Amino acid sequence: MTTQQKKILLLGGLAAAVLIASGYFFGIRPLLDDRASNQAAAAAALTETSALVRTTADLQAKEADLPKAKAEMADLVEQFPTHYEQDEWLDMVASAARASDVRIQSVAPTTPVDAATAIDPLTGLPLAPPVDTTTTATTDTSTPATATEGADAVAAAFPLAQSTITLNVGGRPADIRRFVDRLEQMSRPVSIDSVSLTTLDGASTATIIGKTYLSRSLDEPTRAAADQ
Amino acid sequence: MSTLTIPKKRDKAARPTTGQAAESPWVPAAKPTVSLLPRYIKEKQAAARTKRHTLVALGLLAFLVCGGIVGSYLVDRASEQALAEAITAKESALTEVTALAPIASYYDGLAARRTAVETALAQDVTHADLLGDIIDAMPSGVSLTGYATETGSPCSDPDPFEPVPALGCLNISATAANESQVAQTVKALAEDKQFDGVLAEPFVSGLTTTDKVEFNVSVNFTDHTLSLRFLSDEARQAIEDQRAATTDEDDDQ
Repeated sequence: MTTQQKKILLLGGLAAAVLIASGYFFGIRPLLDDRASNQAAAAAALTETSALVRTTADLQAKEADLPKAKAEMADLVEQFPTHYEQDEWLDMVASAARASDVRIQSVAPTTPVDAATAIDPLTGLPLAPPVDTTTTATTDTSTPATATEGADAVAAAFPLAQSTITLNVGGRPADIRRFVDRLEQMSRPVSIDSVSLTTLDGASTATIIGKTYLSRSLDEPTRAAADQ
Repeated sequence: MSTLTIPKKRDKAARPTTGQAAESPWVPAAKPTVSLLPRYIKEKQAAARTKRHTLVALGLLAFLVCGGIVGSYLVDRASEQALAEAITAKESALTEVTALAPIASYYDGLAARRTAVETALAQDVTHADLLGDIIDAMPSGVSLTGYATETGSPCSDPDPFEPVPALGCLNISATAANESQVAQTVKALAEDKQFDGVLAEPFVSGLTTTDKVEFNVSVNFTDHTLSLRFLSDEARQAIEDQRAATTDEDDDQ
């Protein structure tokens, strides 16, 4: 082999190396990288899609069960209405008193306060438990966020207001006991904190302190919105 | 006698080629070849040949590299297509979830209300039953004159070594004909613990005798007085099971 042939072969080898390297690094590898990136993105999209499909199936099942949920909500609203509706409430209390044969001496309800900001008198702590504002939706994390942040999130998570009631009634101890029982069993129940009873010359008077609750209204889901 | 034979005329194809042994002495042997080209020409020719071969090899290599690039490009296009389809499917699913968002919000709101009610009313006490228990526990001849509950702060426990866990304190005032009836009252209140565990550790904090005996008793009431009426069925069942287990343990002791 001549020197010139060796030079040609050497140059050819170098040219081949350059060709292969440039073809790989500037042609094939970027395309392979792009393909790997596409595949990873597609896999992620498929994972998200399957999660969304599960969420959709779950929500569709819930949509089918909506009458049951609405009935449950109606029960809750009956016990914890969105407005005080004092006329109805006073009627209930008066009816309980008549049925128990006790005489109402005084009724003193306070204006409702948002339970989300109220302090529990027993513990001295906020009545509403702390709310993690980073995760507001309980259904699924992939569900679009429905609650707002901060204080609004607390209010959304603890949508109750409470009114403290002080009742003074007179009657026999057994009748007062029946009255307390009826108060507790009312369709708008009174959660009693304390009962103080005093008997003097055969006549008893009782001071009953309790709370009744209101709940924040909840918009009903509209069929049209669900079909969009 | 020897005869002279003339060789037959042979086909051109049958003629021996250069270097091939002649079949007959009449066929001449192959002519020796000699390259008379100068050496530098020969080297040029060899170089040209090598150059040609190298270029062909490089062309082939370039073709292979281009094929690899085209193949990768096609595979990349296919992956882009798959990605586009995956994104379309995801957007479609997201659209459906978004359309059902009001349903999710409704259920979230319902769950929040349910939880809020359970939390706010977790300490709801059945005062009617508690008052009934006290009225029933009064022996004949003892009149209840005062009754006051204080939820959240138990009474001072008469047993400082093993205080009973209590939900609140009940202060009772009553009148009796004699001290014996007071003792009976305390006994009745203490026995209540044996039955359903509502009351615990009654303690007479004051007793005054005039024409009748006036006395004050404090007694703790336990978490057995909790109504559990606002809890979920599961939570209520769990607490009732726990109470039943505790009662069984107490019975065993």
